[in-house]
Amino acid sequence: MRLTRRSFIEAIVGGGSAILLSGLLPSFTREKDLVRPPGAVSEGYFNSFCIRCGKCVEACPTGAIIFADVTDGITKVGTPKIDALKGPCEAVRGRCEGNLRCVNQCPTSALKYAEGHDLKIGYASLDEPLCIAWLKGGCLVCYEVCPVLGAIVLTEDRKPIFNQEICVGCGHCVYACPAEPKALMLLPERRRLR
Amino acid sequence: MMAKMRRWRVPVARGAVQVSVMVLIAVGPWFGLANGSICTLTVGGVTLSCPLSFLQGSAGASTILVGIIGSIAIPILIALFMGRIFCGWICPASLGLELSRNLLTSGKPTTSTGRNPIQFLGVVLIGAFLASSALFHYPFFCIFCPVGVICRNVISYTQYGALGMDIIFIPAFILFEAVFAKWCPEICPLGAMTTIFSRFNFLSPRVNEAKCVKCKVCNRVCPMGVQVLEGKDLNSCSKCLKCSEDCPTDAIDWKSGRNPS
Repeated sequence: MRLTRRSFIEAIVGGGSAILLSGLLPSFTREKDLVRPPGAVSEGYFNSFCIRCGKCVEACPTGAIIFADVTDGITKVGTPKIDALKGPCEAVRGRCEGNLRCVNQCPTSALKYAEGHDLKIGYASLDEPLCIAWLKGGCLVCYEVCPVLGAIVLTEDRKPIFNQEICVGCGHCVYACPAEPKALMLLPERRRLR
Repeated sequence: MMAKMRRWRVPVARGAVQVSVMVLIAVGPWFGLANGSICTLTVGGVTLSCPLSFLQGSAGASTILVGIIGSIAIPILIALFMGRIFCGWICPASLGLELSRNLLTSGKPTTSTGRNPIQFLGVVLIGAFLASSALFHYPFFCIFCPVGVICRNVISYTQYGALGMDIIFIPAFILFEAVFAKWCPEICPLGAMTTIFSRFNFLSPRVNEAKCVKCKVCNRVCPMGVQVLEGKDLNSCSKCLKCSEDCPTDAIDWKSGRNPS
């Protein structure tokens, strides 16, 4: 039970460098905005609340939730993000309708969803030069899979136009898009609960 | 031959428990057995949470994470009554570090450093991580916590067949151990927190003076740096049973009772 001078110096160096590193490391990596699972609280709170346990990743029936990696920014390692290329979020239509499994599993309140609130995960953004409908016409896959009325409207000559305000960002269209590479991308919404 | 087999019996049993916990985390959600990682594990309707992630989350968000305040109770109770049994029997990082240590030192028992008797550095690091969480609003330790990194990569590999780039922290830990200090007994904040709570040890090694020949093998083999012979620092004991298995005269018994200091 004896404390030596050496252990004191070790503790001061160790503790100090831990605080310094935690403050400095995020400035060396690019902190990306991520598409969070449905019901995520605002990004600043989310990063503190999320304990990186991976329950939501395991709960997602479509496998749309994956762990953020070092490339998403050091402060976000291990937090969940939605990768629409892996699967769509079925919160609006599908297995999670009225029963958000990731939210139910979240042990902290990083993901919380109250009935009646708008579900806004992000929004789909269309890259028209890659879109089959805009290039040569004939493709309406995104329009057909979209569960939200008015998020995708068609022009006179049957080309899709996306309404970012109505789109909830479930990613059904991104997952289904047959263009190679995908003409659609899921982008994060900055305005969220709290 | 028999003696050699006997020496491997307990490490194999511990390794089997550690690996089966990871297998439970990997395949549990498919069969509805378990959900989550060691950070927060729901098994059989009971949820267990990591107290350090609770503290970091609460410090970062300047509130109390009410969601997991109940589920940190069982880990704390286990720590109160069984000390660092988590470290010896469940922690996947301690399994990995022990294996790498055995490979690097080719199985020879490492000499006890005798430093850092009450895990002073670990306790200071808990404070440092809480301060950094409060200052920068993210749980810094959870980013590279070896337990969390292993669990997350097990989950990501079984759920979508990919490993994260954070897996590089594991060889970094092994390198760190080889160069600087032993992680488990001297640095690990999780272990330090368990040591703080370890008050009423139901299982601690007691030397039977009648049989003991004072060869100090027990002190040398202890991975946590406990001085078994002198009965010092028993709070750090991880119940790995190494001392009693390696004792040449079987002089070590496992007894309950309060730790002497």
